[in-house]
Amino acid sequence: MTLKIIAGILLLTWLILVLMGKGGFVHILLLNGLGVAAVEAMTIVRTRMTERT
Amino acid sequence: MTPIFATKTSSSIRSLAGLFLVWSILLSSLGSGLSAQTREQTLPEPGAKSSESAFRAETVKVAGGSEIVTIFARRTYFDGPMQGPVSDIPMVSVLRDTLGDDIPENDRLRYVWMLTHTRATFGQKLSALVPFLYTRTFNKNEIGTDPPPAILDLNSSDKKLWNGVFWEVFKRLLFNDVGLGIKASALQYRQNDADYRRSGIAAAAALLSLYQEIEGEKVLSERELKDIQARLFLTEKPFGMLMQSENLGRVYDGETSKTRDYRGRNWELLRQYSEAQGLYFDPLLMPDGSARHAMVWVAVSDLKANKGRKFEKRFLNFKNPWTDSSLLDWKGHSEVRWYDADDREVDADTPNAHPKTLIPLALYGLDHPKVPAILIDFRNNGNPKTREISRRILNDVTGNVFSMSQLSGMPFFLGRFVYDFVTGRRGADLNQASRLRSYAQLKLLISLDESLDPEFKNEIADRVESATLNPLQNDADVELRLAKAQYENLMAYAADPNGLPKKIDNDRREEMSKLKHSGKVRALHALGHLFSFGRYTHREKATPELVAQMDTRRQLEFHERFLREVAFTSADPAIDSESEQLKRSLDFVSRNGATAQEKTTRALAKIFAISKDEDIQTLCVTGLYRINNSSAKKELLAIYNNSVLPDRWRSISGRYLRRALEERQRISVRDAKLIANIAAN
Repeated sequence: MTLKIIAGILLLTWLILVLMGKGGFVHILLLNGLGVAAVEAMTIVRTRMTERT
Repeated sequence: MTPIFATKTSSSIRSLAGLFLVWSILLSSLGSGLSAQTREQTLPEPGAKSSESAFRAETVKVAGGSEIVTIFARRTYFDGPMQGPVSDIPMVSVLRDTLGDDIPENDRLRYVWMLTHTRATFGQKLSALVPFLYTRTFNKNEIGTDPPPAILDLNSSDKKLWNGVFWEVFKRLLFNDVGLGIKASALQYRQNDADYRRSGIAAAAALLSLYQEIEGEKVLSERELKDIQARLFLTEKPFGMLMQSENLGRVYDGETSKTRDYRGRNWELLRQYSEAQGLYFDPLLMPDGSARHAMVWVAVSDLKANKGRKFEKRFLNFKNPWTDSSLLDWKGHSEVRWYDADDREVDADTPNAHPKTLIPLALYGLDHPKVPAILIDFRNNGNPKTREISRRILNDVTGNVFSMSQLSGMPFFLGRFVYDFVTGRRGADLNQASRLRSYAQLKLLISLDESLDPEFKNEIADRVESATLNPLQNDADVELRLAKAQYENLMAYAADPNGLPKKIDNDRREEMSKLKHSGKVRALHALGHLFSFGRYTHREKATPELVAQMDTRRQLEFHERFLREVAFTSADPAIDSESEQLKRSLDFVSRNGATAQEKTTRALAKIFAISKDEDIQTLCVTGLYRINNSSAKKELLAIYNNSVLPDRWRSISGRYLRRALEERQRISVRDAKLIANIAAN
């Protein structure tokens, strides 16, 4: 579910950027970076939670 | 790549996608009607005089040493709300960076603006996001004060490539997790955006090609026109921006010859098939005398005579006119033409000429690969649109909805291959290449051609608008108004010291970094640009020395390009090349060519080998000495070792090699040892 929310937020950000006329490769790279960072962060949090339990 | 997020599609999103589809189709059909009603009248007054030339060009100086060259389409009639006896339409502007001097060798073409191409409005962008919405929706009525977007940056740029790469990553990261509707919507937008740009590029290429063909003094040289067109063609190729400048001439020749082939074949196909069915084939001439479109007409007198006749619609792609009762009671446009006894069209005052009333059936694009593409069916507006949509729907449903590509699975690959093969071989006008280019050319024809009957031209324009699939597109009248407004904005941008002059200055300072830094350092700068998300761009401080170096570098690139072209095409440069220009280029390289590229050394060696002119050969050898790289010295050593050549060349090359060794030029270790032996002897 969290991943879906992240995906939704990133796509919404892309949509807003596109409507603002900022749909170039640098912005897509930024969103890719954010996407990978979010997935990475999720993985770390989940690993820690699993270790605690 | 494996999707990071899990794949799951909810049924609610499927229902939403279904609703979207229904709504879009309804809106599409509504849009066709609307576009015809909302067109504004900018019709030529009947009886207006035709202009002497279809175009004029204008050059405007920009502060800091550059100029904007604009090509105007001449219009000689009163233009609705824009009063004036001559209301020329600015069509294409090109920025030429001259460094403020009159030397053509250091000029650089930089930006191309197609002035009818603009940024989409918020409403247009929203409509472009709607899946399966294949119609134009809103026009851009307010242009504002922003300069127009450049349709092409002639400086090699890898932005398009990176955009594609990052978009693929983005797609695979997110789209499998967000459901059909959003995914289809985002992909639809990308497709519409790419198509809109492609349409602008096609219009620019068509206009420049017309301008090139029309006689008279031109403000853009033949070579510049060919370069721009070749770069426009190359925007369609994934690695097109990497094409080296000496190949642009060949790209241009290849593309134009391919288009001429298509045109000739489609012309013949359409002529033969329409005449075989008893119809009249009528090519429409562009201002340069070429025919990129053709009409097919039917004579009213034949309708009764051929009633019920069998009709073969292959390549014609419209319904049987001999069984169509609507033609007997035709209310649309018709024309009276005169024919002689052999059924050849003649002037009305020709003896024994008899009149025939003709009804237009269809209009075709001849520049289309494989088949003449029907652009307008005068009896059924939906016919060409359905054929164009057939390709989009197939691609959108398989790609955007079901995420299938030809690489995703063998059954789909095979099915698609067979379907494409059969439709391609049979010349079926379904799932063919897009008509974007043909429609862009037709729009141009409508805006430039004043020989067509104004009312008929207006009807054609209306039908073209209703066939438009792209919500980002504006209608023809609005585009002409946009062109004027955008031209004014561009001029204001050029006059503003913080506008275009500053941008050109930044571009030059970026260009200077190539003169100051090695490839590795520049790669670091590029990484800095990427990881700062475009905030950081490395630029040098413009000193007089660097400006002078840039000037020399640009001239050297010009001469290197010329030499490589000669080396590629010539059999004997003194005979089949521009000998004076060749000597000038060789002379420049022999004086300033230390940093010339390896390819140029090979070109010099080849010109030396194929030339019989001693002056040219001497300049080649001097050039090889001047170019400071190991490849040049290898070529010089080869000349020295060539026993077939007269001793004089052996002596000159030996002397240059010894001097190069003394000057510690770049020479490979092996060659340096050989040269040292020459020096010792």
